[in-house]
Amino acid sequence: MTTASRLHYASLLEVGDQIRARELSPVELTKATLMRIERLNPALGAYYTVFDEAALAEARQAESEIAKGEWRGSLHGVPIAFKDLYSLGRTTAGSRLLADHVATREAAAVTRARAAGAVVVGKLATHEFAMAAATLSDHFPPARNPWDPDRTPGGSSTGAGVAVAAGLAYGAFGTDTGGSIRLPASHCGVVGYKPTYGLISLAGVIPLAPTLDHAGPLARTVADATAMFAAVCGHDPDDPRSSALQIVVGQEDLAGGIRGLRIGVPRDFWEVTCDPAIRTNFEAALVQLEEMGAQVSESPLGLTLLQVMAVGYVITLKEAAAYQLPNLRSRPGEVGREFGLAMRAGLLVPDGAYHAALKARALIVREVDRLLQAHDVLAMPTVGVLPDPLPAGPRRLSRRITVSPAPQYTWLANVHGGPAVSVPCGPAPDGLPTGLSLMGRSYDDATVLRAARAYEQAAGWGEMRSELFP
Amino acid sequence: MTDSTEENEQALTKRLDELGVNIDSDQVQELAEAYPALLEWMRIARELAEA
Repeated sequence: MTTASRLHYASLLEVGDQIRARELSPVELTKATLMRIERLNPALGAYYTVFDEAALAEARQAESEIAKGEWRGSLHGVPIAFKDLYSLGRTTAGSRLLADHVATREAAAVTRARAAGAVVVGKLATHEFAMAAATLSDHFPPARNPWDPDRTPGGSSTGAGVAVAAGLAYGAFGTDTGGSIRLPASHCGVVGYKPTYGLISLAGVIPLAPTLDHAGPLARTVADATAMFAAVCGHDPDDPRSSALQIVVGQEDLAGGIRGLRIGVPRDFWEVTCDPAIRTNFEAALVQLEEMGAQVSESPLGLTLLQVMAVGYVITLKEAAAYQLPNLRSRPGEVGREFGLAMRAGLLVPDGAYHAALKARALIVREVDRLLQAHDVLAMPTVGVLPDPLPAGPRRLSRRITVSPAPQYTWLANVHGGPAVSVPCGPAPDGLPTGLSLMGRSYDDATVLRAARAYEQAAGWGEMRSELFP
Repeated sequence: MTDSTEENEQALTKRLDELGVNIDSDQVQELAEAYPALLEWMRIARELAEA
């Protein structure tokens, strides 16, 4: 482990400031990023597609505009990337089914990022349709964890976590249905931010489960994630899920610290399923938050992880299977084994069970809202296990559909819909990263980001980089 | 394979077939293995919905 200060590990805002001041050339920065991708991507598998020429053209345009005094904002001239669910050029969703699919229309978030001046360097690896776990025998080679390339980087935004953690982009946009931004953020030692449902348009993003899907950034700092969110958020009439509420979070909202902030800890929800090493880091984070002036207190949720994950998965499987039904009928041989089996399971969910799950979801929302009346944010580990070794082949379906599921505490914020951030929480004894998750009231993204920023700055774990990829 | 397991696999195959979706015999074994947990998830959701 090392503390890095190299340009490829600089924050998005640092390089953005240098670009604005014309101390750093977007063209040179993009060239350097493309060279690092060319050198490291064969080992890490973060990118499916790299836009060498198009990225350089965007960088040249940015450089020209900035030279004329037409600076568009923090992302202007900065190389970023998108998960391969966002429609842009070849868009595969990590599936052989779409291996040759070229999007005819760009995802709204891509268009907005480009309008903010971002240089889009490529498309990033994903679990198949944001669900099936990556394996060594997949159609597309799996992304690998920079801290231990034999292990998963977490998913489903696998490439996004890897690209940000290994200095192959200054930020990346992922998607999150049950934790797919925050899980790779935790496993790769970076920041992952799932905004309140509906604040970033999903128009042009291949869906998994439309009522649970979210778009959001992965970045090396909370401030970077906030800047990325600010660049693409806002109502989109092309996305029926898009919120009419205009919530913008700026850098000024991150200031002020957390003195007096009320942090609730719903220990009954996560503790019994959590790896002791992860729990140790979490307890240290709570001590640190208290020392910073936060009021930390126990806050039982009254719901188990299994209850929340069961509700989330029943909804996800039913909605995803409905979307995939034409593919399952006409091209079953091109769907991966785990994903195809999960979708068949989804087809076996009766309408009545789906509607019951939606009703149960409303109860979960009420219970979380009850806690958030007494607390400003809720804290828990992001995930209760360290990253697994990449499996040789597809996992059995019973690894996913089980009454003892992998402890992904992230599901709570998806089912609830409020904002959640995972920030680095220090390494486990074997050096693998862990994550602290903070979630809050719907549309109060600013408070969650402010708390995450304060912890990040005090703890400093986000400065750590893998020695394998200096 | 017990009779009940075989019956279960046949029932799952039939339900998928009615939706126009095929499943291989080795895959239906795997689906049948996970199916009790799926039923439990649905039971949990119903129980919460009625709470």
